[in-house]
This record gives sequence, C-alpha cells and structure tokens, in this order.
Amino acid sequence: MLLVNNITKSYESNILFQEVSFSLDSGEILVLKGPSGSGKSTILKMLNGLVAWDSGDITIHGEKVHPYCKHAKLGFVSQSYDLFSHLNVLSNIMMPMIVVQRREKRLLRRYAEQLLSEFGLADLGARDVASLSGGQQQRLAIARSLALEPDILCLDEPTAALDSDRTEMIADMLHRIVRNGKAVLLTTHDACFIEMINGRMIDLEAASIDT
Amino acid sequence: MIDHSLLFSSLPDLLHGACVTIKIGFSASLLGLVIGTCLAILEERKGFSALVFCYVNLFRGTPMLVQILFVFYILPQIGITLSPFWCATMAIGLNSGAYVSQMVRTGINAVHKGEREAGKCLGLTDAQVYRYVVLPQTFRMMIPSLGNECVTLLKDSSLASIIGVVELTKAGSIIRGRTYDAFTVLIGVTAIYLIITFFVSFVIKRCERWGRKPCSW
Repeated sequence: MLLVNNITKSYESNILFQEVSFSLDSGEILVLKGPSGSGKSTILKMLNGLVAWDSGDITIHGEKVHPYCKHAKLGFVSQSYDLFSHLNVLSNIMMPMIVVQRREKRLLRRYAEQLLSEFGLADLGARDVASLSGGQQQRLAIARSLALEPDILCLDEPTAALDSDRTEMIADMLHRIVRNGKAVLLTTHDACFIEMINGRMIDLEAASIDT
Repeated sequence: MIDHSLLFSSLPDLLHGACVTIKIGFSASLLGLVIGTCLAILEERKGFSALVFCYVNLFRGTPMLVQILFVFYILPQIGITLSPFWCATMAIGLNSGAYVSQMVRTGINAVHKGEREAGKCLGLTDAQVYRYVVLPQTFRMMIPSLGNECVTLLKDSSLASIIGVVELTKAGSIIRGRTYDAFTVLIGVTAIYLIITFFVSFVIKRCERWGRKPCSW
C-alpha cells in the first residue's frame, strides 16, 4: 500500500535521516520510533505534502508521490490536532467533505453525525471546538480525517496529551480502523501505548544509514 | 442659541448630505477591504512584498487630501474621467486599502499555522485554505479594527468637499454661508455625524458578538 524507499532529508548541512525505507500494508499498524529530532514527524509531514524530501521515492498504491503533493488516500492527524477553530464540531467534519469531495451538504449531515457518534462525540455537533477536552479534540481530529475515507491514517504523537484511559480508547479505536482494512502509521514516545497497539515498529535512528 | 426653525428647514439638505457621506464611507470601506485583502495575500507571495511595501508607504505617507486632489486633477489628464463623488470614493478607498492590508496581514499571521497545514492535509488547495480557513478567521478577528476604519472613513469623507462633493460637511457649509448661523448648522451637522457613527458602532458590536460564535456549515 505504502512504500518508502531510501528517503533522505537534510536541513542545510545537517542530515536529519538518510536512506530510510519501510513499507506499510492494509490492516497494519506501523510505529515510527526514535528520539526527539530524529525526523519522525517530518516523515509524516512529507507523506502528507507539507515537507519536501531530498532524495528517494514514496509510492502509494504503486503511484509515485511528489513533494508537496497531497495524496487523496492519506489522512493526517497532527500532534496539536489543528481543528478549525472558527467552525463548530460538526462543521469541522463536513467542511472538508463539501469542499474537497464536492459532496452534497444535505446528504452529508447524517453521515457526519453518525461518524461523531462512532467516536463518542454525539450531541456535541453544535459545540465550539475550543470547549472540547483534549481527548474529544483528538477523536474529532481522527474522525475528520477518516471522513475523507483515506486508506492510510498518519498520526503524530496521538497520545501526547492524553491520560491512560484515553490512551487505551485511542488504541482500541486504531484497532477498529485497521480491522476495516485501513493502515495506520504513527509516531509515539509512549511505551504503554506501543504495547497496547502491538504494531510493527521501525526505529528511525537504526533505519537511518550513518554517514 | 439654536435656531430651531433653521435647523428643521435645513434638515432635508443636511440629510441629503448625510446620505452622500454614508455612500462615500461605505463604498470606500468596501473598496479598502477588497484592496487591503488582496494586498495582504500578495504580500505573502514571493516577489510581491516590495510592491505592497511601496503601495502602503505611498498611501500612508501622503495626506488623504492630496490623494483626493491627485485623483480628481491627474486622472482626467490620462483619459480617466470620473465624477467628483467617485474620485473621492476611489481616493479614500485606495488610502484605506493601505491601512486595511496591514490589519489583514496581522490577522492572517494570527491564524494558527497548524490549521493551514490541516487544511492542506485534508486536500484543500492553497486558494481553498485561504477561502475556508484563513480569511474567515482573519475577518472575525478584524471586526473591531474594521469597524474603527469604517467610522474613520465616514468622517474622512468630509474631505470630499474640497472637490465639490456635497456631503454632510459641505451641505452644512452651504447653509452656514447662506444664513450666517454657524452654531445651529454645526450643531445639526455634529448631531447627524454622531447618529451615523453610533449606529455603525452598534452594528459592529453585534457583528463582534456574532463573530465569537462557531460557524456552522
């Protein structure tokens, strides 16, 4: 599904990582591990068209991804969730579907409400996103990303701001997502969370070839 | 003492002038908003920031009166002839655009970078990120300063009298010249300006309250 082949990234003369390769198949959870500054988040941003890489190839479903080009089959949830603060909860899910997928608003409302209830956010549709707790914001960000039906969901430190109960809830949610045939690529420092999700792991420091 | 009969007999002329003031003020505000928004977006693009810098400094560094006279006297020499009303509106709008561009720029910078990135990650194009994520938040943040700008322009519209536009101040001057009762006329003019600006301030307050509510699609 996703193939990352020998990608290298450097900022000026500092090499962040070099010739990193990995693959990801449907129904799989892959964890990118490594110390701060090893480039875990940068890889997720590269895949989602926010950062360019120096060399190497990325392919999704055999289709080559170009730097700064967003692939429709990829979803991304950042560490800070980055919900649209001027929109209410329901509109955070609906707006991208209406604008990007040009779907009809009338038919979408029920789908968006169903998605909210699946993520335990039913009855919060009219609320301001700032009034949600950290866990609710996290779930909303995942729901917003999944609403566009990506095959691969990328999550950057999904449990960084969550307590252990919420961490367990996110782990269950990710298992449910991969059971539906999707793949999950995530970065985390949280050892308990890594244990809970029981996914394949790549240590970015070890995967990067030393110069 | 206020001459009530003069005040009432002057009211139709003063109200006609007030309508012209309102038309100039709102048209210039709208023009300023459009120009200011375009300039602020252009300023973010490579290669355009110098152009925007020149525009902003040209219009902020020269008096509005000179700009009105420039549009009124120089444009016909290059074949563009506008009525005094539109000359004043254009000059005031162009001037306002310089100030509004800096307000919009501040507003754009205040939108969290992550929200723009989230928009891109969700598949929105750059233009759609501006249209649906950045600008709605920018304008909500700008409501108080845009309100101030609108009130300022309503008052600045009195400068249009220099090129013969009969707006509120000019209408008052004409009546004052005819009756020699400066006190009554100026009280009338002041009262009308205050009513207009109070109304605009009231609308801005309502808009601010609306701007604090989350938007629904």
